[in-house]
Amino acid sequence: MKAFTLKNLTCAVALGTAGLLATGCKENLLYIPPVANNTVDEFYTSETQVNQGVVSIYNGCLSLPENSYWFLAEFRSDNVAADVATVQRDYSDVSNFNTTSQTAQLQATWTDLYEIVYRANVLQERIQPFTFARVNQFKGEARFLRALAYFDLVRFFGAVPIVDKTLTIAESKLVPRAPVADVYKFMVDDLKFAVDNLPVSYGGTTDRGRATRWAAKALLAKVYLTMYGYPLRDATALPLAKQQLADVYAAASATTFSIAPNYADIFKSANDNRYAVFEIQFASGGTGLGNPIPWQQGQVFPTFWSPFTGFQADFALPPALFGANWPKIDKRKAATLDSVIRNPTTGAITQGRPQFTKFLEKGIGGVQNRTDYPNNFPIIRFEDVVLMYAEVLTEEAGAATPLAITLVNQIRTRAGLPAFTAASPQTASLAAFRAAILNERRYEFVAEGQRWHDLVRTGNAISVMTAFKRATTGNSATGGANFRQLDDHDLIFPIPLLELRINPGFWQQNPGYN
Amino acid sequence: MKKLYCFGSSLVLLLWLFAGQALAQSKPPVTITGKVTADKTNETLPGVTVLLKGTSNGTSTGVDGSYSLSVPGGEGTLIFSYVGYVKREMALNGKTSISVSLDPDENALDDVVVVGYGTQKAGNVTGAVTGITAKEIEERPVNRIENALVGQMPGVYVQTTTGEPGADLQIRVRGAASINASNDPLYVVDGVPVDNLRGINPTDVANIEVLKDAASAAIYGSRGSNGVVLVTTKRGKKGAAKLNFSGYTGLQVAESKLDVQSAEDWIQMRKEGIDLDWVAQNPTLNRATDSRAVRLQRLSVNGTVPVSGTNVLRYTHDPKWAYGQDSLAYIDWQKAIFRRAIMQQYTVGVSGGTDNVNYNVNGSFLNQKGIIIGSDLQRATLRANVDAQVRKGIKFFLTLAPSMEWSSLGRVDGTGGQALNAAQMPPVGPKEAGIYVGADPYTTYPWSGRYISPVAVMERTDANGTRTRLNANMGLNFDLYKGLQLQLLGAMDNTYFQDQIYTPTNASREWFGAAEGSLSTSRYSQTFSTRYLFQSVLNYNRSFGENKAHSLNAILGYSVERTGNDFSQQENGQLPNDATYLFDRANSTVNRSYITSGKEALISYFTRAQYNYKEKYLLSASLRRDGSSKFGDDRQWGYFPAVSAGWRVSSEEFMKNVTFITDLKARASWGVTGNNRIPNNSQFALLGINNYPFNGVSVNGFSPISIANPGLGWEQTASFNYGLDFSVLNNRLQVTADYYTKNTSDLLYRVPLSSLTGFTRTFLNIGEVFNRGVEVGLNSRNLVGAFEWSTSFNASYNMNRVEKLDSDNTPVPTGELPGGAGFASLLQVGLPISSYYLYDAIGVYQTQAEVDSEPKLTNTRVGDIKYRDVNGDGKITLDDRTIMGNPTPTYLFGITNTFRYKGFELNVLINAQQGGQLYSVIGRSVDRPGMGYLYNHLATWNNRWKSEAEPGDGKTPSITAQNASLLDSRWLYSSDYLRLKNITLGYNLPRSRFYGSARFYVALENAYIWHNYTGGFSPEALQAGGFDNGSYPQARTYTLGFNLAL
Repeated sequence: MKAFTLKNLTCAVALGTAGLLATGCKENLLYIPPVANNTVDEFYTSETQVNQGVVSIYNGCLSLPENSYWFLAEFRSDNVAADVATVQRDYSDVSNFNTTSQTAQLQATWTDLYEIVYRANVLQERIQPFTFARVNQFKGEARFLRALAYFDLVRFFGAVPIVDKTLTIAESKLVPRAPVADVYKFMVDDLKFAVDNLPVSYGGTTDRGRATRWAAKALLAKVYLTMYGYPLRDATALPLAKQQLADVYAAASATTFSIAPNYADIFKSANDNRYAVFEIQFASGGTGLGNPIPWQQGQVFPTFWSPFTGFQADFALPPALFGANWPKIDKRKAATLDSVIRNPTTGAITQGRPQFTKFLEKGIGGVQNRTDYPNNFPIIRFEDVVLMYAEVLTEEAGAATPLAITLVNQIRTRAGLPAFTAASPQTASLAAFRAAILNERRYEFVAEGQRWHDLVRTGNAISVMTAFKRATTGNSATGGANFRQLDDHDLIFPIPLLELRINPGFWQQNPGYN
Repeated sequence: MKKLYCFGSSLVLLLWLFAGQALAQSKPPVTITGKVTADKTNETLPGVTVLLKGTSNGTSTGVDGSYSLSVPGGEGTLIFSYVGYVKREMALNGKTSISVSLDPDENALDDVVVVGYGTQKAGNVTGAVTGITAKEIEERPVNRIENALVGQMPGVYVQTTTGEPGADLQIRVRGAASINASNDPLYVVDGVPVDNLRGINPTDVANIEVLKDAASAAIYGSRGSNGVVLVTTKRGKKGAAKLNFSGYTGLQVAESKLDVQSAEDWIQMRKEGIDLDWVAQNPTLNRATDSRAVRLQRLSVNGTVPVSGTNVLRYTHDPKWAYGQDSLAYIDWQKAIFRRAIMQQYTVGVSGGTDNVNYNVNGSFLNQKGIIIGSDLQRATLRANVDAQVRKGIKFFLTLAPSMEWSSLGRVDGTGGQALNAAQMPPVGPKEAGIYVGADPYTTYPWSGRYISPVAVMERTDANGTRTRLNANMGLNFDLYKGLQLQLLGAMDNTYFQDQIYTPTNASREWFGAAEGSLSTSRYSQTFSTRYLFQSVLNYNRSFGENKAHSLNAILGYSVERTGNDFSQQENGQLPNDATYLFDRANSTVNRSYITSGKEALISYFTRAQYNYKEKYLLSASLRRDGSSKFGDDRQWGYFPAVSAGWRVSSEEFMKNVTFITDLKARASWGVTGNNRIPNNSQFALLGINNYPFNGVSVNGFSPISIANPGLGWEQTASFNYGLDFSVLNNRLQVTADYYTKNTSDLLYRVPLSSLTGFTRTFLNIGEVFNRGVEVGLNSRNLVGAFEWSTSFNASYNMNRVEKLDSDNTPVPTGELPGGAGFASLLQVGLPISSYYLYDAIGVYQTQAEVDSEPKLTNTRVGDIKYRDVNGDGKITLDDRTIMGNPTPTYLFGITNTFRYKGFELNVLINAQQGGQLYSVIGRSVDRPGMGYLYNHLATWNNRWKSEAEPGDGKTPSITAQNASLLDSRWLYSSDYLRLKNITLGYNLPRSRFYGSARFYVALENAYIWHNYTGGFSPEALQAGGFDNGSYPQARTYTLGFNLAL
């Protein structure tokens, strides 16, 4: 053991000073890239990565069936009667024409739709340096999905801002709301590009479900048909729609899309990507990629239907669907809804509430939670193409043409209904046949989010919905006959408050909303 | 990291080098003896330190106050020191017997306070620093040290946001400077910054200082903006080993209950709902007075069709209602989940020291049952502080502080928590189910909604958290040259937290019809947090000049900190049965499984100089440079300067004759601090996983999930402080007063973005906030003598105001309700942070005439909530929302009265706050139109609007009123309260040879509270966003405790 010496002291000072000054590598110490995530600038360096960028746009569409087609479109229509007397839910406000700019569902849908637009724009910018063969296909998919998002945006909110590139925070505050006609033109451009660049089919099974040329043409036709109706009433769009529809109709085959022999089969997961022109893809497995619609549309499931029960019954089906108005002879009725519950083992029958079970594959296994059903959700069914084609032909001729009647009859026959003839009262006049097509569309596509848009496009929304609300909101809560007369402002929703607040005064709220 | 290891091994090397013996003494020893007594009372004083001046040779007095010390050569001076008494020096001058009496120390100015990277004499402090000592902490049964700070310090707002055992308390120093980054102060324990004060036994603490102004906190640079809480733990003192025991046992009961409808009220309201539906079913025929038989008859279409179960429930009363409690269970759910709960803590400690080694070792165990069934906390702590003089001029110090917490917590707070569930549960159930209604094997009550008993949830779910913390540091102190010291410190603070929660199927409200195990989930999460620090500080301390009139202290330091966080979580569902929470892939399905990680680094250089001339003119200046990994490339480094000055007026010649003023000091300071508490990686545009299943097979997809922001930097607060300290009447009255301004710029805010960017939120440095306040602290010894009475009072006022937002001052909505249900508040220039921005509910439209004639929303009906037409345009629109207050209280008060007589001591602490508001989101479940009849409601709904003939109390709308999604002032409450926070009656036993000191006490914590908050359990229950989401109620605790020193 040594006594404390000057030498030790020197040593201590040296060490201490070293501690004080040992900062040589400090700059590196402060650069800590994210441990858990990649950053964007290090990505999109290969075809695989660009493809993963495309996949993420499709991912954005996973919320469409719920947030657009079910909570907004279907609830707004006369296919659902939501009761406001029990638990407050946004869809009840949608159903009862009570939405405000603060209704959270509107913000959620708006955000989801613009997220699709954003991801499509990112892809188009990041794909610029590449020249591989699928470049135009990828761009076509991005623009198809962007148009799909805009189609909902413009139909729900009217004039909406057109965003065709990624925006900085400052730029995002200064995009004006584009006139409705401009939005439609934007969609038409996107879809034309998609039509020109998407393949007619995909080879590998792993790519099945991506948008095809036919999907783009069918959507383009639907956009044109909507332009022909309310609010643009653009007569020049009708022949354009006809041309696209004729192409898609001619392309039907066993390997592309077709009218399923049995209506109920369309919604089974085994038939995913078999009959429809374009579907949102879902898969079970608890990874967040499952279909929430069967659960959302169900109300009270017995466990032999699903271990994941629906909500407490806080919305109902209108009498027009479950009563005698829709005769049982229509096979679609049994495939669409249930009002009795039959136990498959005991055979016991119990009376249940009428509820949509169209998308519920009763007793299917592998479902991990209530938003995890495997079956796809159709965006454009081939039946839609058929009925749109019939509608276009009728509008063009001003009367029910033989081809139009044949087209409608394809749907009716499959449903087990008697075919129309030239002598049927439904084909007697333009008005009668229009009504017949609209009615056929309602029963064919009930619970698929089509009805509201059909009513608006054909100019029937205000009269139909006012009468419907008067009749169905008999509950003390909404006052039955006190229900107000709807008007034009009810045909679109208010812009979500938060979006208006980003740059106050820059956008005007839609008329009639607080 | 490598560097830290390098320094760690250097320290070990140094230890080895310098381990050796102290220099031997050579002169012949003389034994000095004597006795130490207290002045005036002549009480003998045990434990007084007796030290030969200039050496480490010393002893301490025994229980009778006598001592005996061997002094080489019998020459020199003895120093007698004892806590709370004035130090006294006696020259030996050949005497061998020296007895002294010590004066009680009435001048606290000579106390030493801990400041950043050092200590300072209290009298020389030029910033705004406030603190409490061990006495205030030890003598009360507190389970978290923050609790001991409530109401004790001006400008320090301690809020118990949840009553959950062991939960963090919220501390705010001088208001809120930040909006989205954290407003939590920096916690520093024994010189080492830590994340929180969890796992620290309150009885380990010697003192707590809070650095409030920027000049004091600027030495902590980019983390000093919210103030700094410095905790110093007890260290050993030279003397015979002392054994300390302390402990308490308390009984806790819930402090308050929500006033909800009774079973009778609920049944009455339910009947009314059914009757309305019945009449609406066929308005021409049906009447509310129709009997059940008539209704069933009509519903069955005069007996031809069986009545569906749904219709029976919808249109008819339960016949059992007529029989009341005989046939149904009437349940007070709050009573059902609350319990009287025991809390106890025991501490054992040993402290003492020899010439070269001092030590203080404390071990403690806390066992606290929660006042809600199924919640509890146990905590064991150990803290060993060791100081050793290794050689002359070299000191070694060490702290080892492992702690463990075992808890069964969670499930109570917030949306979906059981506190809220208990409030909204229908108070009626089937007789056989009782308090287990809705839980396996009992179904829900048919006439109510779907739910599960909170009792069943709390009992059947299994939540276990284990938190292991190891806080350790070790350092060396070298005396390099006259007054120049070098301190090297290496520290780590590692926490391992494992959290397991098991929810069996029989604790699910969907259990009915579900197979056993099918709805079960079992989740296991692990968090491992690490924090390593190396720090070296050169300290120069010198007095010079004539009579050493000039005194200088200067430091120069460097530190590097690295923190890391590793998190993993597994959750499996669909277990085979309800028998076990353990799972593997073969018998369950994976719900989640992931691993994530984060890292951070902070490098700092700092320096400070403190100078005084005759302790009359005081000057201090400091500078820190921080570099942080959390910010964008453009703003990685920042400077944080501070200066302060003080003038002790009372030391001036001209004050000599002003005898009633004992001390008078004026202070002024300015400094710049920062706030870097935002999540890591906010500066990067990160990529997120967004897969899609083509044809049923998941395909990987990636897209950006955030926006890049290279300019992201810290918030910067520039603060002025002006203070005055004075004491009069021989220190009988001491007053400290401060006025401050704080200007925070470059506010970090997670601003809402236009959805057009593809995102909804990002962090930006967007604005400026101004805070201004006044603080007064007052200590008065009202009565001295046999009966002593002293009062300590503090009051603070703070206001804040948003000065600038973004580039164009666009108001920013804040306070987003859970579930995206809108924004309750906003940031707007000229207003306090997070001002509530709501429709002002002024009543109910009582008649159709009112609806027709008064301003209204477009769809208004009679019975709806009436709003104030703020802009007077004759209709109610979005523009009629108005500013209704903000969550930050303007005034805080605390007053402690202490009475002493003989061995008795009575302490009464009252605290109060005023001027803040609280938004009760609990209202969404129990106080909202449209919530229906099925669940329970606040008792006010008994007086709701029913019809023009029965308009109710004029404030509660119709149950079917519209526009329930609008956020209005009905849920806004004042958070003002006055609380009798603590009453402690202690008795100090007379001295005895069996023990050094002994004290027993009874205490009542949260004795009583006066407030007007009826929307939740506690006016302090402010959770993230500024709401009360239903929090764990606070407890009133009756305690019996003791402190014993042997």
